[in-house]
Amino acid sequence: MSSNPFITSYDKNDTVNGNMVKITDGSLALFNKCGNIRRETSALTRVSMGIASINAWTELDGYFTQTPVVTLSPKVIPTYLSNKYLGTQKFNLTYQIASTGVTGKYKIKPVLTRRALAVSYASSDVDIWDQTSHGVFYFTDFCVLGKWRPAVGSLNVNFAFDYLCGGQNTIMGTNIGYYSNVAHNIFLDVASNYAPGAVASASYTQSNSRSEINRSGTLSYSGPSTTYLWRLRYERRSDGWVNSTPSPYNIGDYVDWFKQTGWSYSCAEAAETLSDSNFKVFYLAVGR
Amino acid sequence: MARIICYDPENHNNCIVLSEGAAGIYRDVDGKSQLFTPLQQSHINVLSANGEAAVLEGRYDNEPKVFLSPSNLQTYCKDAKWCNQKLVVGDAKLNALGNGKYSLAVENGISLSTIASNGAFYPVCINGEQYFLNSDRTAFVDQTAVLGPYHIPGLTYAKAVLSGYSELYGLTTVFGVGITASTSQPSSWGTATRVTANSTSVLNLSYFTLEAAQSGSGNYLWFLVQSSLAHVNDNDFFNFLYDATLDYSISGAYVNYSDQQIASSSDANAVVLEVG
Repeated sequence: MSSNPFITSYDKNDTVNGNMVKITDGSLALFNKCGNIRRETSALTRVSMGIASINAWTELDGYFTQTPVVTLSPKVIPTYLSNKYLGTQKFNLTYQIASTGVTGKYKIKPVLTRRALAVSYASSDVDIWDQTSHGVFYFTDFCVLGKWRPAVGSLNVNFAFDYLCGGQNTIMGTNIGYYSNVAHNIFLDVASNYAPGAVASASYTQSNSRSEINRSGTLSYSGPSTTYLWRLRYERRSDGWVNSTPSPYNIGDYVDWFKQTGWSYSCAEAAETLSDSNFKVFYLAVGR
Repeated sequence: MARIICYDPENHNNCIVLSEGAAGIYRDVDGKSQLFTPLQQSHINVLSANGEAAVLEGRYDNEPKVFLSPSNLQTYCKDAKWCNQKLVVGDAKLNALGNGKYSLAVENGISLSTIASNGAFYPVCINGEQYFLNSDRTAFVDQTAVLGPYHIPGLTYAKAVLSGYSELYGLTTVFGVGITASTSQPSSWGTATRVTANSTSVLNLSYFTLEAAQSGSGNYLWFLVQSSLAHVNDNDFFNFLYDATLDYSISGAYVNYSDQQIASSSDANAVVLEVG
């Protein structure tokens, strides 16, 4: 193929730096005098435009001598996805371009990527349940439902509890004391759908409630990179009263509290390619 | 038709054709002369995105194509925090005015909309308590809590679980889910009910769950927690001792909702590039 111009038209008054039109087999270009220097100011280009679905190949109209440059603009695209609401979100719109296999024919695939920036959080905000303030004393099974809180990624929740229970059985007689065997269970409940369930737990057995038990620990969950809710649930089960003589305890021998003492969570930055074909872009391909 | 054709002397499939109103560059593709680069004109117009038509610059033999780009838009609505949200640029509607002139409007404008979803988790983080004794602790008082509204545009279905704890005998707990179009409270509920036994045995752990669901058509989600306590025997002594409370929590709901515009775009503009 020849590269020589087919037609060249000069400004007769300045054949070196004056305006010029040049037609070759591959282009039609205009040159203008800019600051006394001839510069190419415009060239005939091919443009292909339309609407394309995300993550799908769309063939461009017409033929290009070389790979065209493409610009995209949103037609229907997500701007916010609630499953990562705790993190800052960024949407990146790019494209892939490839030959269709036919000379001069190209196709594009818009690619939409969502990134949720890394999140970490730690708090000493606590939930406390303290039964001593009730001033009432008897053996029973018991439960504490902690507050729901949102988190994302790995989660660590600290807790502590204390339990002492023994007293005088005034029904059986002043010389009769009582106690109980008690099981303490702490659950880390997670809700990533409408029905919460336990993902971690800790259990402690207290064989004689007159011997104070005081424990603390941490429940962990290597959660998803999407937002979920969590709470602590404390359950205490008693297997019934055990009478003993003589009675060494009065009704005041009673301590009971459970508290969540802090928590932290963290999630690394994650990128995901969105593929919903309902998402679309305007495309504009420019080339020769 | 008057034409000027400039051929490549070595291959006549490579040529430039100039005619009235058009110019095109042709190249040899597998032995055939194919149009590569037609003469094109382009203009950039700034349009209001509120649907008003604007007359485009230039004249066109054929209907031009349009490339829209939003220039002023809302990308997030906090009132729909728990819904996925999307930007929707309406279709470009061209209207031929004659003599090669066209007007252009952005049909339905540029808007922010929820993304329809089936089975999405909508967190609500409700932690509550109901207390059943009157102030002098001599009688039971029924309790009703209506919780909401939670904004879910285009809501068609909701299902939720209440988890509760109470040691009370003779306790009836009703958990309901409601859907309304406005922020007025629902007149009907999808409910589930739990009634505890009037037992005289040793008190047992009473952690429980109740699931309720409701279908409808609206924009707001509600919850109902309604409890009443019956004094049935002396064992209710324990009820008094233990402050007679129901502790409950609702983590969220399983919801279906449709695409729904949540922010108008009357103040938005679009940049239009047109090519003929």
